[in-house]
Amino acid sequence: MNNLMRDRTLRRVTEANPVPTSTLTADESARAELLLQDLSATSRPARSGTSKRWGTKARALVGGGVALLAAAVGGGLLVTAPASAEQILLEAASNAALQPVEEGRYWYVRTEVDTSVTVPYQREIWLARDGGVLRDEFLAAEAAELDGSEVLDPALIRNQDLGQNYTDPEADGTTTFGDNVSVTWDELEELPSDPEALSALLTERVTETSHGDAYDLWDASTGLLRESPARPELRRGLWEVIATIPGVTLDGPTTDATGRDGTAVSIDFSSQNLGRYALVLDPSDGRLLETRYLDNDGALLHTGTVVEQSPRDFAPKAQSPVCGPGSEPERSC
Amino acid sequence: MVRPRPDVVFSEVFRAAYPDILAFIRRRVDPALVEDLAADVFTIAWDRWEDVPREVRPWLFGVARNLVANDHRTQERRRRLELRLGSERDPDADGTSFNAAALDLRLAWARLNDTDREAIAFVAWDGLTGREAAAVLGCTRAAFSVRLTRARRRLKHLLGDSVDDPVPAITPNLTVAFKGELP
Repeated sequence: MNNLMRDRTLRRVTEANPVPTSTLTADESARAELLLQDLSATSRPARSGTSKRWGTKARALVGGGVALLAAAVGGGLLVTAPASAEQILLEAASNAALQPVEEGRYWYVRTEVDTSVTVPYQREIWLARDGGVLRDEFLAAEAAELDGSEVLDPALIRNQDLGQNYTDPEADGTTTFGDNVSVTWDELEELPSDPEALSALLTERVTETSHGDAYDLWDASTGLLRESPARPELRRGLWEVIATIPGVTLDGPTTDATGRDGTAVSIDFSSQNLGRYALVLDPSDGRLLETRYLDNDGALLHTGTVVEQSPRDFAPKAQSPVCGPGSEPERSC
Repeated sequence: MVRPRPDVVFSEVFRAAYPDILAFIRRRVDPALVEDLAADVFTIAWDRWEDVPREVRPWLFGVARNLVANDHRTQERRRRLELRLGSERDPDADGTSFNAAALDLRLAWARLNDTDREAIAFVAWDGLTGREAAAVLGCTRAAFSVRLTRARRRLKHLLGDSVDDPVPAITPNLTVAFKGELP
């Protein structure tokens, strides 16, 4: 049974499904096959060229931002002039480029997650070029919530083989980064650090969500900063890209869930009923400390605090899934 | 630099996903339009086959969702026009509805807002996992979980299943159009 279907309310809704999915009737099958034949007989249109939707603005804003920073430093204005989101992000960008280059077989990220609907839980991931291991307490936190408990069941927390469960088997178990932009480790190394070129490439590569260019670019850029072995120069480029996204505002100094000092910037998608996304960053070293998601009314719904992000040479041994080999705990057990 | 798509055969994906996509659309639009919209989904997939993400299934549901939303907007415009013209039509002719549910569930469902209904329907009717539903909406798995849990709590409260759960505010909205979504 799907883990979520342990909930009585959801089970009632499921049982009332107005159109259960069923095999096609003979007529439907025939029409579907005709459609497939028609499509297959049609040649596909040529790929569109690289988008330049953000490019010009990226160059202008980043160039302007660097000039502004230089002028501000030269004139001592940083002490008195109110900062803007662009200034903070460009400062973070400059310092991110100075981060040490670190290498290892795995890229390890440990995140502490707090949501408005589950007990806090932890997510650890060891990402290699060909798979990796995920230790995510999410299923246990969700199950605890369903049971009205605040204690995570250790039996539901496994070291999951990413090569087996989280990657496309037809892509040879290749790990991808950046959620909707989905780049491999090799591709990540090839991504340009120039903000104009990077912005254009991310815009072209991201799977469009229908939420608009700003949302897609924010999602792609923050995804790569949050959980990928992006090299320091690429991190600089990613912060610079975020600085170009229209609507990013400075929220000011804050502390993350672990008490680290940082600065928050955010972007508001509430006009689309998409809520508000915030990043807490440390401009002095270009680290992303925390991501926050707030609903349209400003209530904090989700916090992901990046506690550690570094290379590792070893990962823990993967365990079989909770529901046995080959099973998908989310779908059936 | 552009990642080549794995050698996934379109026809295999089509045959595997078509029944699910057809049912997804049938739950949400006028029966007369169902197969046309399903054809549109796969035409878009064919045209963009080299660009579709590796996880095709949630992407197809996302395309279907957008087409359904467009249809609902069209139907809403038509309904407003018909109202202005004074014509009558069946108020239950479109939108997601229960066919054989108890009255309390029907009433509770009607009082949920569109966002909550969508989250629950993805899981309970369309058979999407949390990860797939998140991909359809373009959000993180955890963010979808937040959305689903809030929706489930509201429905549970409306059904009177529990008085202990904290209940977020309910937005009364009897329309079923896909007007917006949480990430």
